[in-house]
Amino acid sequence: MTVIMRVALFVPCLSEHLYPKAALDMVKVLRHVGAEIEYVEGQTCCGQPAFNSGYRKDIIPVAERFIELFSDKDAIVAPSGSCVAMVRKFYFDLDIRPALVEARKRLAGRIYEFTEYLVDVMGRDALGGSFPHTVTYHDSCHLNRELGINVQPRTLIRGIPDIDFVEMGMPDLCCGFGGTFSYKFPELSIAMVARKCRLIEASGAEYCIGADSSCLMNIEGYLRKHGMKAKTLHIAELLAESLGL
Amino acid sequence: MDARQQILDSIRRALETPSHLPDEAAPETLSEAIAIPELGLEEKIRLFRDEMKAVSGEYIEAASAAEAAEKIAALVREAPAAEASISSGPLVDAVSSALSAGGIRLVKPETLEGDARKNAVAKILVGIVEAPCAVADTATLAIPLDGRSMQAYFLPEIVIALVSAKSLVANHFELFKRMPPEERKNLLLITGPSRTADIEKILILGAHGPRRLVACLMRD
Amino acid sequence: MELRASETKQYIKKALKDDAVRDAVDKATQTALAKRAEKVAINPFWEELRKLGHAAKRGVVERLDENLARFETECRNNGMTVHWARDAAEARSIVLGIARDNNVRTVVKSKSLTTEEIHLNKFLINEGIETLETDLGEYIVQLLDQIPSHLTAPALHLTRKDVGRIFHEKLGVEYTEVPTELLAIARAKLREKFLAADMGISGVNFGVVDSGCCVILENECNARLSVGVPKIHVAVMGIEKLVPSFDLLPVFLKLLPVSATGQKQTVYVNIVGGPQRSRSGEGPEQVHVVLLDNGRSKILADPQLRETLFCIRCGACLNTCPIYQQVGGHAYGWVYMGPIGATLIPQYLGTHEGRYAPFTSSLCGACRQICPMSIDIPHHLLKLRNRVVEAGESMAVERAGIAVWAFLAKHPLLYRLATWFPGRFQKLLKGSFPAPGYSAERALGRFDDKGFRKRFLELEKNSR
Repeated sequence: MTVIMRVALFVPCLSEHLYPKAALDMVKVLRHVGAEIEYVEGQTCCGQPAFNSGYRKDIIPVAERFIELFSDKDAIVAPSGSCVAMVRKFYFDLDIRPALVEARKRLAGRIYEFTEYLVDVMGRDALGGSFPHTVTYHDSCHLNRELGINVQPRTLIRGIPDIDFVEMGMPDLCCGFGGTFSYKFPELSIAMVARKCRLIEASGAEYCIGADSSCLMNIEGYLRKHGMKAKTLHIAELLAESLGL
Repeated sequence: MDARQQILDSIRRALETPSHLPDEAAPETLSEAIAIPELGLEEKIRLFRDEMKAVSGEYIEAASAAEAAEKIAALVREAPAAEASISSGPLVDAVSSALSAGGIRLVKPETLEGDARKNAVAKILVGIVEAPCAVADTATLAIPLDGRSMQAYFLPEIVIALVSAKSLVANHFELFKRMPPEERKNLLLITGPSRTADIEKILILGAHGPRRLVACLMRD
Repeated sequence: MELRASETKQYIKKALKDDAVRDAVDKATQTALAKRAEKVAINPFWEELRKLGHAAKRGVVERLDENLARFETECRNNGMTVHWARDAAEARSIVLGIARDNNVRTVVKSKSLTTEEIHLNKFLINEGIETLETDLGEYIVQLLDQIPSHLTAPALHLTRKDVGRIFHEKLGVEYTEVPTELLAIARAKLREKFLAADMGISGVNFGVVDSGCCVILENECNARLSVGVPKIHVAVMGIEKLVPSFDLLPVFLKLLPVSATGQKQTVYVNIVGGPQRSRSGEGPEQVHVVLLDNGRSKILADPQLRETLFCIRCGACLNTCPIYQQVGGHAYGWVYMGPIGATLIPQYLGTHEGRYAPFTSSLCGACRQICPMSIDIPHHLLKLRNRVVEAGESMAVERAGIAVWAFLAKHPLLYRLATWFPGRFQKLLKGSFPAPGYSAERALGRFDDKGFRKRFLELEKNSR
């Protein structure tokens, strides 16, 4: 018996406007493993940048809208750990309308990050395919430390038979993006991404895989500007590519 | 209003709002972490010896007071020194006459007063002391400030500490459990020779206290 | 040299240009982390100890009034004098009063962040009392007229060459950069002082509530010499430094040294429960405990942020912080630095002086992961960011931008329209948009001309 998994997409701002390919590839991979995909019209932003900047009052209506839009879905999946952490954890810091308190709790239990959904919910780890390259993996901070997701993406990477996976030094070292941190303290943020990129380069990997487009934008921006040879790839893109989707 | 009352009042006001923290497991349910392991004497000795070496301390053993005195005298002579300050207690009392007989001049801090005491002890290279109790798990010497002079424990460059095997406890939990409440209130715990790593994290032994700490374990 | 938390942006820029300091900080923090990891790996109960520590501290802090009163009674029963200080000035005058009453002319101090917090040294020196730091690192930074750059390793930002120069200039000794020789110089200078000092001042790592004693951890023996030789011992203690009992003290004796220096145990644990001179003929004849509030009861009033009072000042969060590793401790502009400092600065100094501190973090969470007290530092930083905004301390431009964004985010059609423009304009540019600061050393991502939603709908159409 095949259980049809119905997945509502939550596409964070960066994926919507700058990196749609990662989200599209996520759709392809989820379909490949048998999920049914739904796009929820009217979605905008989860509110994280404003929340992280301290503007709690301003985002309450944004969060309330988000909760109303998504809380009746069975499963909501996003290609970003930090946006999922926002909804799953930090929404609880907001004084939302009492009528939505239950819905918020329900939503928190049903929103998943992409690799978490594949591995923990769908029970898929080795998807097969082919990607004969050396790759390394960057642990995005919110994904790793707020959601505790670090095994799942590695499992999926190792599930590609011909991939050469190497760990870089300090894979869980912050890349220095930190959302608005990157423009509030640009020199510091750049010093941090420089360090991350040196570690990526030292690993000898051709590709640095990540599961959050924000970190990847930061890393890729530095690698490119400094002529470093490694490329970045969202894990959804890696899986879609290896499966020829 | 006085400061005390004002501080306590503002604490009380502050605590009117209950914590946001989720309920946690009460400490009792985590008892494994604070359990006192059942260790045999030999195990405790082995642990104490290994840990002493791990903290850059030195370890010697003696089967009798006579043997201890002989080994300690050799250490004092090697230091090189002809005199040593010596603390009080049954273990040092058991070796002191043999040490004197061996030609080592012993200075008992208790026989000196105030400034004369600290100035005298500070000039002597070696201190011979005893630890009434020691912790195997960390090679920690536990010395209650029970009226004895403590200066020989930290002013000399080289400190030789007598420890009775019988006094070894498994860990700090056992140490505080066994120790009479009045004794543990004024207590010095020593784990290895004094040290600093304040310059480029380079470890140097012998900061403001002893550079060498030798534990002499007495088996009888 | 007086630092200001409100100048942190400038300090950060300056620190990033100082390669020597960055190198020193990076090496020192990596060494400390490696040693800590070794000790954690061999302790099967580490996580349990953390939970115990957190629960014990919580028990103390959530009934702080009762615990302080009990601690005070027990201390008095042990023959100690207990003083209460509402703020730094009151604490300073209490200490000065004790010194004056006893004709104190020289003071030796063991390392204490609490006394740094109340600027005690300078105050006593201005009052004509010679006051010397005796921990090697503190001694070095005192000679330089700096504050410590780390909670447990005050001179972490300096190299042996720096120390050699400082000793040469300030002490008039011949230049050497051999660490053992530098230590020998300090030891000889300070030994005289220890033996002659009238009063010793220390901080307190843990105050044991049920027994009324102060626990002071150290490695150099300088605290022992400060509290066990002079006739007067003054212990300055933040009111949050309590632990419930001797039964649970070992939990903290394990958590602190491993987290701070990667030692299973510090060399000395001084447990002070009263004056000793009448019994042993040496050590203090008076022991004074100064209980300092200085803003702590205010911190307690926030049911979430009061967790920041659980801090045992081990410095592990500094070592693991990717920001501290880059800029060191002085960049934060206050005596408490790093991630925990970033939570304490706005709480102690207010949201104006401390308006930048909660933002000196990428919220990566490494601090919470390493904290022996499991303090949820990133979460507290988020709350403090909100406090800064609520206090009107954020920039007007940012406030306006957020208001526009929030309006758009509630209106999907307008939101789509507003976000349609960058994609259009992007087409005209070869590279990506320039972003002030951000794109100095890295390219910003390129806006997609269609966006996900449109592409997804196209995909749907084609597959049908």
